[in-house]
Amino acid sequence: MNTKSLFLFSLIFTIFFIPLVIPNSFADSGVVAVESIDVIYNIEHGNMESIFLDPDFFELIITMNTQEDGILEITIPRVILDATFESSDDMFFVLVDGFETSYVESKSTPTSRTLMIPFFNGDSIVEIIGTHALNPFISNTEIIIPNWIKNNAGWWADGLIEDADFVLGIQYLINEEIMTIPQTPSGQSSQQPIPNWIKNNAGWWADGLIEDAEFVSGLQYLITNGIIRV
Amino acid sequence: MKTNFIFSLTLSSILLLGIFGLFYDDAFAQNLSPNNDNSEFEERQKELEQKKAEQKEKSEERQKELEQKKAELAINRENLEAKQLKKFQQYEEKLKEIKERTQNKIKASISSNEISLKSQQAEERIIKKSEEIQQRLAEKSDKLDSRIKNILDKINDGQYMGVKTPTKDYTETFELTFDSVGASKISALSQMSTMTGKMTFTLYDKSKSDLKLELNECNIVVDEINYNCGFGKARTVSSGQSGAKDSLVIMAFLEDGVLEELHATMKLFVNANIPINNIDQSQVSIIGPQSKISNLWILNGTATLTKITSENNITTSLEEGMSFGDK
Repeated sequence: MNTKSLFLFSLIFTIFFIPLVIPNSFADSGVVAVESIDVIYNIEHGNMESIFLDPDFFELIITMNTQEDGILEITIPRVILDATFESSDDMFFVLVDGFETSYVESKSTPTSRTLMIPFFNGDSIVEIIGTHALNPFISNTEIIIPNWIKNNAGWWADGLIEDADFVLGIQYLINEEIMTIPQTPSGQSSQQPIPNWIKNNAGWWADGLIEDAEFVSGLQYLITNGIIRV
Repeated sequence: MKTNFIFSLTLSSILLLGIFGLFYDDAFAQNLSPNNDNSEFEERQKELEQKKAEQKEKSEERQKELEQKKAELAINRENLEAKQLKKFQQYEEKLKEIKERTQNKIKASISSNEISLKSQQAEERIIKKSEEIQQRLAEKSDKLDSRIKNILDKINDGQYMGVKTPTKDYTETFELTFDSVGASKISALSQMSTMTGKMTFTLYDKSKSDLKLELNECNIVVDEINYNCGFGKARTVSSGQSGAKDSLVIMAFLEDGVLEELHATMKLFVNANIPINNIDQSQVSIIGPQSKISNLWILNGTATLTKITSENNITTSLEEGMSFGDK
């Protein structure tokens, strides 16, 4: 009887307790919060060390320990990192230990994309580069431009308004907070000519061919180069 | 008379009462309104001050949070660099061998007193189109690791560059010339060298503001070692909050030009002052430590990005010019 119960105890211990005590070093799956948003991962033949987002370079960086060749499966919420061309999905650039690596996109939903990235034994860093990333360091100053400014921009692009008049007008509107653009460092005042691309952009913006942000980037160029003073 | 007297008395009393009423009303209003206004004003003032204090507190908290996040990011970036160090040793031996062979070649050309001519010829010979390298890589595919093989397969299947706008062919090319790029060894950041050379891209796809470029060829020299590019790609991204696509992310597969055995990936973050789409010629920044050659070098410096009109267009315009001249 004693032997039987000892055997039973050993069996239960082996089945239930040993796997709990010894960490499973050959696979790891779980959820990591990146900027308070959950990122789900599953590593075959490896353990997760860390996941962090480098928003300045649109990179999600995963560090891990690997024991054999394997696959990292990761579900990236689009709000954290996404790769798009115009408004359609584009591929991510993926590097494993610094080497470009092809991957398989196993699932794509309106809110997330799941990638399966192969790695070799000993690899430890996976870099996933997109085109848009959640950036907590950028204050989301809304761009507000009254619609009627488009007419003026169009006239300027068509040569009906002089450069100086358009610049003075824009300067007045920004200073009076009639239009709002993201905070931009001002450059030293200069009399340099306005590059043609800014005028072209203004024309395209007036015709609705480019977004407000593109037009504003031109204005920001004028501010940083001291042509517009705000 | 009596009636008149009574009538005028009634009228005057009404008038008097009316005047009194007016005064009384005014007096009432005068007595009470300021009290109401003052208390309301004070309440509003208090509310405003409270809101201001709350906002200040919130912005201070946010600032603290951001500073903490910045510090975390800096630590994460440092840890990453430390992790990269471990891999470098694998490549050190190979690099030494390649460098020795290169130096021997240079010595040999010195002895024959034709240094400038020979090195020029060597440089010309060394530049290989990406397609040539891809072909050679495919020939020795059994010796390559699966990472490179998979990418070569994707190139052959036309999937490497991703989805392309159908029926649009572009002839624009871009040239990136490295003017002053410092290369610091990943294993010892104080050990500095330089990177020179250039990369040529063909416009692959274009939207209102996005660009996708395909690497055509490259010839770069890092720490006296020549590299060619087997394949590569680039796309525009936005560096700031305006949304303007003023930066390029570049990926390129490198192979040393001597042994043709050392393979690496070059990742470049290129930042311009204006949207890449609008560049004819502009100086751009190569941003480190994110710009690097895998496990070997961290790159940092400046380059010149030039948009080149396609040869086809030039030829066409020349031909048109000649035909006009002939007439």
